Amino acid sequence: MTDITNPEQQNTVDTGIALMQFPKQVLSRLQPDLVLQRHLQLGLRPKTLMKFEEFRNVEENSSDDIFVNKTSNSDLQMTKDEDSSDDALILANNVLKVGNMFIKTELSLGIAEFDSLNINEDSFAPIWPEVNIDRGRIGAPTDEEMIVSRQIFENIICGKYIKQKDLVIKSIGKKTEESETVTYNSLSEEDELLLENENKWSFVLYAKINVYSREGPVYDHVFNSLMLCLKKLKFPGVYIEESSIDLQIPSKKSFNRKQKQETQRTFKMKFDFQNCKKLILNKNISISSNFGVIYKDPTLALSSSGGSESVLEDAMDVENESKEFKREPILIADISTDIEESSIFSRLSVSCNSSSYTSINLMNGSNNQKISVQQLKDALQLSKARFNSLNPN
Amino acid sequence: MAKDLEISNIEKKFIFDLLASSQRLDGRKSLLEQRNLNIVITPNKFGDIYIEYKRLDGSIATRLHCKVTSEVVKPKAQRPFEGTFFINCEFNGLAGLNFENYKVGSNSDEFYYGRLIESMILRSNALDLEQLCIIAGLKVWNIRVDVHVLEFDGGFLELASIGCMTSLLHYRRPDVTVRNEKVTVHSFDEKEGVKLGVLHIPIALQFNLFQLKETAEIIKSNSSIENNELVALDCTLKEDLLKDGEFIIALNKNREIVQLNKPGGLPIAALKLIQFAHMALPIIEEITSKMLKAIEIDERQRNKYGHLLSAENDRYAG
Amino acid sequence: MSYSKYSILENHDGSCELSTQNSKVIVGISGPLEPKQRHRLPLQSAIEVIIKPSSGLGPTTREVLMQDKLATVLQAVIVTELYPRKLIQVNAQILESPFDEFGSMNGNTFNEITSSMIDLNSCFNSSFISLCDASIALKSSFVSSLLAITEENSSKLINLANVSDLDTLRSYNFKSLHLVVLEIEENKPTNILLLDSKGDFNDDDLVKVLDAAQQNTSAEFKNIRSLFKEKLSQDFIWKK
Repeated sequence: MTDITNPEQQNTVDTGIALMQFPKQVLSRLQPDLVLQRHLQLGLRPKTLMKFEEFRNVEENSSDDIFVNKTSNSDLQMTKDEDSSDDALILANNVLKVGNMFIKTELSLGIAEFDSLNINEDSFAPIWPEVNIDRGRIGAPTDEEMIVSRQIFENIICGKYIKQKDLVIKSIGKKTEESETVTYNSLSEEDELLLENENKWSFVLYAKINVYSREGPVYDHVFNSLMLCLKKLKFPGVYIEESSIDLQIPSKKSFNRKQKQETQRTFKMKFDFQNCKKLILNKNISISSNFGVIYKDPTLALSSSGGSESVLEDAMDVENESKEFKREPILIADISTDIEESSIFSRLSVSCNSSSYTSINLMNGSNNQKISVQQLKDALQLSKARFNSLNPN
Repeated sequence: MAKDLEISNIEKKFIFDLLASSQRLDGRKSLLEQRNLNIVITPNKFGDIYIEYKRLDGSIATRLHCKVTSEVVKPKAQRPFEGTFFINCEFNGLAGLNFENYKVGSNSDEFYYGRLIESMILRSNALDLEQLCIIAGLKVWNIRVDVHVLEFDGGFLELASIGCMTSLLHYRRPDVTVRNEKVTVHSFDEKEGVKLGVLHIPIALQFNLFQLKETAEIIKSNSSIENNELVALDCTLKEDLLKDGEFIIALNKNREIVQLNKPGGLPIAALKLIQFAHMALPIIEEITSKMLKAIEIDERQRNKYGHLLSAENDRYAG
Repeated sequence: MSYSKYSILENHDGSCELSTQNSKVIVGISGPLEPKQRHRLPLQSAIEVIIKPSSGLGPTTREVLMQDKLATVLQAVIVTELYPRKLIQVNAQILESPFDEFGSMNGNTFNEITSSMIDLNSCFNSSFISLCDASIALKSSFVSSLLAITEENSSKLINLANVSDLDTLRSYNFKSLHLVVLEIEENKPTNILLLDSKGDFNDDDLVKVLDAAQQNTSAEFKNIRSLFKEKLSQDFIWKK
C-alpha cells in the first residue's frame, strides 16, 4: 500500500521507489477500504459526503390508477382451467428514488383455486416477489436477486400483513347478456353456479420489482417500496359473464376407455374495476433501514498537518501507539455506495413500525469489526426515528 | 471443486492384476462377492431409509439415504387415472470432492442410473399408479423418492434400486376420504396410513466387464471374443473407472427379467446373457429376503403392543 | 440437547451428522483446496457453502438464503488469511426436517419459515463441529440457538431444537422467531455473530431472547466440549 498515495501528496514523499498516482475514482476502486478510512477520519462518507448517521433522501412517486394494458379492462380473461392472467394488470405501483437509485414496484393479481388442503384460512398470505436488479445483462437470476426475493417473501409472511381470509373471493357477480351492469349477491335468484364458486377462489399477489442504478444493498429499499405499494392495494370485483358459460360434453364416438366421461362446465371470470375494495392490512406497515459498523483505523489515516516525515516518526513512536491506535467503532446508517458496501462487512437491517419490530437481520461478516450490543441498541433507536421521520401511515 | 479422480498407471496395472487373480482391492476374495449390505430403517418415520455397503473391516464404503415424500397434484391430461412417480438422485460435493456441485445439463452418470431405476419401477408396473388416484382428472398422489448420496465408493445402481424399493415398500401415505369432490386428508393419528401398491420387487444388478486381451491381439491370434472378459460384481470407485463395459439386468424373485441394458463397451457373447441372468437370480433372491426381513423387524417393533390390542379370536387349525 | 456424530464421511476432511429433537443434517467440510479460478482470492480463502434440501432439487431460493447466512458467519469465524488462494468447501445435506410429510405445514404459511429456520439452526451447529473436525483454523467458537415466542404465551421462550413432539411443533402459533448465533471466547458467550429475528417483537422480547440464547449457548457448548474431549482422546498420539 505504500506505493499508492493521494494525488494531493505527490510532491511530499521522496523515496527510491517510483510513485504511482491514481485519480480519485480509480483509487476508490483499487483500495475502497483506504478511501473509506480517509473519509471517516474527516467525519464524512465517501462520494455522498453524508454524515455517519444520515440517510439518503427518499422520494416516493406513485399513481392511484389501475393499469390494464393492451385491451380494454373488461376483456381481461380468466378461464376456469388456467389461472394465469395477463401480466399487464397492475393494481398498485410505487417508484422509490433513493439517492440515485430507482426502485419500481408493481403489484399484480392472479386467481387461484382456494385449496383448503394446503392453505389454512387463518394463516397469513404471502406475496410472490420477483426482484430484478438491472445490470444490463440477462440470464438466470443472480444470488443477490434470489436472496432479496426470498427475504421479502419470508418477511411478508412473518410480518403478518395480509390475512389469507381477506384474499378469498367471497362474492362473485354475474353479468347477464342483456344488462351492462354486474350484479352481486342477487338473492332473488338462487344461482347454482355462483353458489358453487363462492369461497372457492382466492386472489394471489405477485410483486414485480425492478431496481435501476443500484447503489449499496437493496433489500431495505425494496421492502419499503413494496410496503408503500401494499398500502394502496385495491382488489377489483370478480364476476362471471353469462355469455361465456359453456358446457363441454365428451363425444360418444371416442372409443378410448381412458377418456374422461364427465361433462365439464367452463366459464370466464373477469375483473370488475368499477367495484374495487381496498385491502385492509392486518398490521400497520413497517419501514426497514440498514446499518453498518466499521472501525476507524488510524494507521490508514492521512496526517492533517506536517509532512510525511512526521507521519513516519509518529509511526515509529511506540509509546504513542497505544493512544493513537485505538480503533473506534462507527455506526453508519444506510450503506449507500459501493465503497462502503465493499468494505463494511458487519451489517444490520431493522424493520419496525411505531410499536414494535418486525424483523432484525444482523450479520457480523468480519471478525475485526463486530457489532456490539451498544451499537445494536443505537441502530434500533435510529430505525425507530427513521420510521417516524418517514411516517408512512 | 470437481477434479476428476485420476489413477496412476502403476495403480491401474495393480488393480487389474489383482482382478485377474480373483482378488479385490478391498480384500474380497472373489470377483462375484458383494460387499455387506446393511439396511437401516429410521424408526418413527415412513419411507426413510439408510442403506449401506460395508467393507470387510466394517467401515462404510457407500451409504445412501432414501426418502419418500408425497403430495397431491393434478394428474397428466393423458392419464387422468394415474398418480405420478419420480426419482430424484444427484451426486454432489458431499459424496466426494470429485463431484461437481452445480451441474449443467443432465448427462451425468447418476441421472442415467436414476432414469434407469425409474423406468424399471414404472414400466414393469412395480408401483401401482392407479391406486394413487384420488379424483380422476383432478387430484392424484405424486410420490417422489429422493436419493441422497452420503458416502460413495461404487455400487450406486444396486444400492439405489434396493433403497428405492425398500422405501417404497415401507412408506405409508396418509389416508383420504372423498365426499362430493371434497377431499379430506387424514393425519396418521386419525387414520392409519395406506401402504403403496408395490406389485413386485425388481432389483437391478450391474455386471462390470474388464477386457483381458487387447483387441488387436485377438485379431492377430485369430481367437474368438469368447472368454476374453473378466466379470466382476459390485465394483469400488477405482475399479469402476477401469472397467471396459457394463451389463445391467433387473430381475425380481419371480424369475422375471424386468430390464436389460448393455450400453456399448466390451462386446460379449450372446449366450452370456442367460448365464448372467442365472448368476443374478440367487443374488436377487437373497437381497429381496434381506429387504423384507428388515421391514418385518421394523414392523414388529412399531407394532409392539399389537397382539395386546387385537380383538381376533384364537383359531385352531383342525 | 442435540446429538452428533463426527468424522463420519471418509471423503471429507471434517464431517458431522447432527440430530436435534426434530431435525437432522449432515455436513461435510473440506479445505483448504485448490480452487477453480473464480474462487481464487489473492489475500484470503474463498468459502463455498452448499445446502441441499431434504426433498426435491436444490438449492432453491430457500436454500440460497440459508447459504448466504451460513457463509457470512463462517467468513467472520474462519481465519481466512491463513489460506490465501484456497477454497474451503462446506456441503450440507438436510436429512430430516419436521415439515417433510404431506400436510404437515397445517396450511400455515408461517411453518414454511419455521422449517427453514430449523434447518439453518442445525446447519450452523453441525458446521462448527465439522470445522473443528477438519482442523481448519478458527478465530472463535460459535453456537446457534433457535428461540420462539408464541401468540398464546408471550412471556415464555421456546427452544425449538428441543421440541420433540412434531404435532406440537406444527401447531404452534408463533409471534416471533429468533435465530441467534453467539460467539464463544474464553468459554463464555460474547458477541452476536448473527441475529435473525422475524415476526412481531419489542425491545424487552429481544433482551429476553439474547439472555436465553446465552444460557442455551453455554449449555450446548459444554456438550460440544465434552464431545471434543472424547474425540481428542482417540486421535493422534493421545490414542491409547
